[in-house]
Amino acid sequence: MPEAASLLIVDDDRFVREFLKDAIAGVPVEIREAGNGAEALARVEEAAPKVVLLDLMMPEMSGLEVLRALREKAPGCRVVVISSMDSELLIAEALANGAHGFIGKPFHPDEIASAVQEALSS
Amino acid sequence: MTSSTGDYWIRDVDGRVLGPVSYPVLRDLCSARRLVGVTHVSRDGKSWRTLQELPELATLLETPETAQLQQEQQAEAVRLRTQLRAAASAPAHLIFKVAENAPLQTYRQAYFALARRFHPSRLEPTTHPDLVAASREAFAFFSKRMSEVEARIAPPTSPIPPVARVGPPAGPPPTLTPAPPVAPVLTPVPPAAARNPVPPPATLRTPPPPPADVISRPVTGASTWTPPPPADPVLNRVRITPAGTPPPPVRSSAFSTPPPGGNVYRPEDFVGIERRSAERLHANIRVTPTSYRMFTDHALVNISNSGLFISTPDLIPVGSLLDMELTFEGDNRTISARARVVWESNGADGKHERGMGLKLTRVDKQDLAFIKDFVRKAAMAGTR
Repeated sequence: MPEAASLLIVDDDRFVREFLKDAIAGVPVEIREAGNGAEALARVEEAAPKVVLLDLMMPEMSGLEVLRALREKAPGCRVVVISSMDSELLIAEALANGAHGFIGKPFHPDEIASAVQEALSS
Repeated sequence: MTSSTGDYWIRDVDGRVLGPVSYPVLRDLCSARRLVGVTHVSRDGKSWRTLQELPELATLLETPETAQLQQEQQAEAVRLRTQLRAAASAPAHLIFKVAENAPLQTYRQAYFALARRFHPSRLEPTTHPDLVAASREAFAFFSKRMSEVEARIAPPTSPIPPVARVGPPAGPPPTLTPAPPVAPVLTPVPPAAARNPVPPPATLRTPPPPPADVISRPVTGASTWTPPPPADPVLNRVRITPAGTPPPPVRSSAFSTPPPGGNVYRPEDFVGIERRSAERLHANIRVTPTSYRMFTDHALVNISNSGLFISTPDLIPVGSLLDMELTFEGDNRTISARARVVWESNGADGKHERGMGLKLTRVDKQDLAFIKDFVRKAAMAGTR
């Protein structure tokens, strides 16, 4: 049986992490979590996730900084940004910095599941 | 942090940072009312100043005239309701501005963009009540029409929707494209704030309130628990809402079995803009040699998967966290645990009682072993 792809959830809000885990419960991925940017980069080295769900606004290291670091550390990793900071210019900036997709808040669990499935299959 | 292409970092009341971003991005965020809760700004990611201390930001943050804003919001509410009335009989593909034979996922993407725009969490606490009500009507309208689309073209059982393209190369990501205008009869109403892109400094720290019908408040007092009534010897009936608070309305959830005809979308099914970490409620649950079946009787949630089902009139949204004190009668033992609502039943199907399925997300291993042992012994005693 092929090994399940790894997915990393990066959000400092535990509630959101739990919600995201529920949202993708039906997707065959091995889920890992990180509560901040530094932890996220460490997890990426450990597990080489295929998909990262990334919050943009976090303590210490912002999601944009994580995004740029991921582009260097794990260029093949598909990062889906999830943020309430969904102004058009910021979305464009995130995509220009290597984000695979952007989901604004409030979001519905179906959107997350769809985005993860798409990222895994692309 | 190291400076790169951007010029600014911003920080909110919780110490969360966004940056580096350019001034146009910052201005765009301000116009889109996304700086609520942001208190400080930095040019190097290290030294911080209040937003008002930077002259170029102070102009963005000027407080609009409240009376004028309220008048505009009232007028906007009238306009929105007029558009909704005009759209009432329009076919779904025109409302969602998609091709008539578009796949379900295309409809969903269009719907989610509209739902995001009119979701209650998008509104400021000071928004005029007329606009709040009109936005709720808009959300309900689009949700109803989406449910109708689902009923028409959704596969019978589809827990995971079809694949969506979210990246830029092969199609619009969910939110890269601005929420599509609702054509032809409904034109988008910009958020009130967008026309007055100036968040009042005094209210920057205040997050928007949760929708009134969502339990999002922390429990401030001791929660109550009522023992199982005589007519219900099997399951405890747990009260979760603090005494004196009316129970929330009945609802299903995104994780419940979709009703015949497709999904039902409600504001509480969305994760909003406000931070919800504090949304934990508390319940005291007494486990007896008869009520142990809360851990065994439900196929979806039982102790084999660290789950249980509690019978309660007080349903809370799926995904909510619940802190519990489980008191085991006869063993003089109380276990503290945290659970997440993973399923709920409003009791209308005649198969399940009104209540919620929970998954224990934080419980000591020894405590979990004790629960399993208690359940095993109770079950054995029950079969004698």
